[in-house]
Amino acid sequence: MNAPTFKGGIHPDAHKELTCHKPIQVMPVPDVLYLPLSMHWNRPCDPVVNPGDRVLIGQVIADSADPIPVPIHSPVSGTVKKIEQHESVASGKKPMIVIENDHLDEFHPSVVPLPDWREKTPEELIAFIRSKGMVGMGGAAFPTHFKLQSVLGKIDTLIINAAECEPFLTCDHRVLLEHFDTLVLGIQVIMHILGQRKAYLAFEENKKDCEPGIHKYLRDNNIRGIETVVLKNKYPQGYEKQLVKVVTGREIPSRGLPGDVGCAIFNTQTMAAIGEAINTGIPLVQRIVTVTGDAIAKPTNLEVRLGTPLAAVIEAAGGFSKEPRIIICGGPMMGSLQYSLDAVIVKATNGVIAMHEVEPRPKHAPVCIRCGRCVAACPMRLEPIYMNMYANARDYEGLERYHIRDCMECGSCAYICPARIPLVENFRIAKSHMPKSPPPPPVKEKKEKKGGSLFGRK
Amino acid sequence: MEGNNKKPLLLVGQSPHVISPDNTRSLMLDVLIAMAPAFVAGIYFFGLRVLLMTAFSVASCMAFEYLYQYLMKKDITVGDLSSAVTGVLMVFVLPASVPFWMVLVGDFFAIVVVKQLFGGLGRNFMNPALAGRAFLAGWATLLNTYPADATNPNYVPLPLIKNIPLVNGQPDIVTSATPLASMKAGQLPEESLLDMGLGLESGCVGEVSAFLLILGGLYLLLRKVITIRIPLGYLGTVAILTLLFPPAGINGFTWMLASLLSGGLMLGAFFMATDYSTSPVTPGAQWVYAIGCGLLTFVIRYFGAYNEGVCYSILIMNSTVWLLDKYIRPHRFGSSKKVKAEAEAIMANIRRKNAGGDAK
Repeated sequence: MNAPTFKGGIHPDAHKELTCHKPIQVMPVPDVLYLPLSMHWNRPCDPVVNPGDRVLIGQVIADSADPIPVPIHSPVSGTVKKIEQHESVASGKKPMIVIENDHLDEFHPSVVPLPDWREKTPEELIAFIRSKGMVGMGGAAFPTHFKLQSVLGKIDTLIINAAECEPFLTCDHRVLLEHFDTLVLGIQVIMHILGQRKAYLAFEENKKDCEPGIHKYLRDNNIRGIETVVLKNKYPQGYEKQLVKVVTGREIPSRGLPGDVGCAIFNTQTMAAIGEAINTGIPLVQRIVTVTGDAIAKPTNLEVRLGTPLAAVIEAAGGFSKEPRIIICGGPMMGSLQYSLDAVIVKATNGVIAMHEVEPRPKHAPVCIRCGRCVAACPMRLEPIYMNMYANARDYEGLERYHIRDCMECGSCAYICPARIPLVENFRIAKSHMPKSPPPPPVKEKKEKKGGSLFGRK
Repeated sequence: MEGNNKKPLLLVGQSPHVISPDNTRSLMLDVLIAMAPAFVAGIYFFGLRVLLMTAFSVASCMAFEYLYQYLMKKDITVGDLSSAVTGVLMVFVLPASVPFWMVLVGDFFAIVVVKQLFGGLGRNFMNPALAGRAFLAGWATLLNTYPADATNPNYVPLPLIKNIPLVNGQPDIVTSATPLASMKAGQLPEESLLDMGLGLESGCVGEVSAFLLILGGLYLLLRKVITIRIPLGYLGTVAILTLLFPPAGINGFTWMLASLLSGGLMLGAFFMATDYSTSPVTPGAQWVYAIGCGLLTFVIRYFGAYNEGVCYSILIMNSTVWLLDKYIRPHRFGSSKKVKAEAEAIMANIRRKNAGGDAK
């Protein structure tokens, strides 16, 4: 039987063969690290250290009084040099804590394992997860404890997202192959918190080779309830709506969340990081990053401490083999282009891709040929062709009628467009001009009955 | 990187950062490749005049497009090859015996009037080549005289370039009736079904060999240039209607095959009705459009004044495309009432389970 999938989507060249067989290498830690005050969705943290302070691995260096943000920990032992504006992968300069690494790798006393986690209440474990700085490591960086709080007691299905549908990226694949012990432990903790007896670990067919190892580990340790689900290789298979649909058959209502159909989705590396925190007490201070692309000499998967500049990461992957034209942080479908190699790895950076071969921009203004491929590719089954026409005409009412707010900007339409129309870019611009919330649906006015003589009308 | 301390100059822009290898030009090139078998058949059946006519037509179409865009100070987009496709299709829908000036008039009407005056590629509302042919119906005698093909015993090669002289207003060539002419009279054509499939029949340059057109269509399907919806909906509708309503005394199945293999149906279904600009983009609308084409072809062939109905069926359906797209929309993800009801049921179930668990 074919692996299950969803309607729409695209099949970009995956290029995963560049790195999917390369074991995770531990990258040498640079002398200076830059820790942004915000590596999560929501407000930034406030620094709790001062320049000159000595910090240890796992020590909280920034925290927030708000309930949603997660603390930031030092990935190295060393000295806080200063707090300054530094290039970020997001957009422009952001305040960062600069730490000079003393290469002693001393741990903070707070770094202690939690072997008796099974005896803890969900609330205690959620607090533990927050204290370890856990966020979704797939790109959105949504604080994990906040997601757990909001779905606690409201779900019946737990999905671990290892789809990794973005081309080039293989870091989750390597975690499935090499770190399945911490991954499984992390999943068990989440199952415990949410009171779930079952969890689905979902990945695309191209990661099927991880199955024997994981199944053996589950069997040997007599762990029940974790089931693997093999999905078809297709972008955007890892999007929450598509993933829930494929794994459970449930369709999340328009503009809804997985929680609306009793599902919760967690990222693979987040699970592994939680497992690691339970085992060793080390908070989220490092992650696996795929460094690849045709301009990278030795594409590989690296274990990188957070705050490492891109230049160091690329050097660890053999440097550039060709002149890079673009450098992407994240995957090529959703990631952001970097203009500076000073930008640093954060909790959500799953890939650094340097590309030499880039299609030149079209010479002419692109012309839609009405091929309809965007309509066929849209996983939300919208009509990008008409959305684009309304966007160009700045007709925001028309855009509402074509449901632009359902667009999740996955880029499938822009990828497939033979005319090279920057559809997603146009939609983003249009959305930025639109009011934040949709206008109330028009009240249908009853048509006034008009009677009387037709001749009397003016 | 000590020795090479130059910082790379990096491009920035918005995602996605990878793009499908298919572009407008490559799609048009695929259409040209798909038309190649039928083109070779056209040369084989009607002589080298077809080769010259096609070269002339492609050159004229590209020249008209270039000139229009140059004079109107627009971007020159001749390189996208869409006008070359129109050039080939224009010859495909004409008999090989028409004079070259007619090809030129058709090309002008197709490219300048139908395509460019409406805004160029993607904005025309009628298929340019078919509209060009419809315009040439003003010269009905020239357009509706079909020369005998090379496999006909009375075949006389057509002159390479020269116009065919007229005698009493009729071109002075050996003509041959098309299968559709006999079928209009309610009879099966003289040609066997195999001959019709291979193209051993009289007709327009590119329409005679149904098999080679299907081959080209399969190539387009394989390369995902077109989807199956329009050809299948079109051919399926014609097939069902002709199967159900054969003329008296004729086996429905034979009649259906003869109807499918005759005239411009294959050319229309695979190459004309699927034209991007003039066909719907939503799957549902594509089905309705295709079935409409089939229905109209059936009606014109059975009840109209013409033997052939493909050209006008497609042109008529072309004009409904925007309406169809507007009202037959795809089923948006998560929008149906059923989805909302299901979601509520799931959540109610979870609440009930949790409440039960607490009670224990």
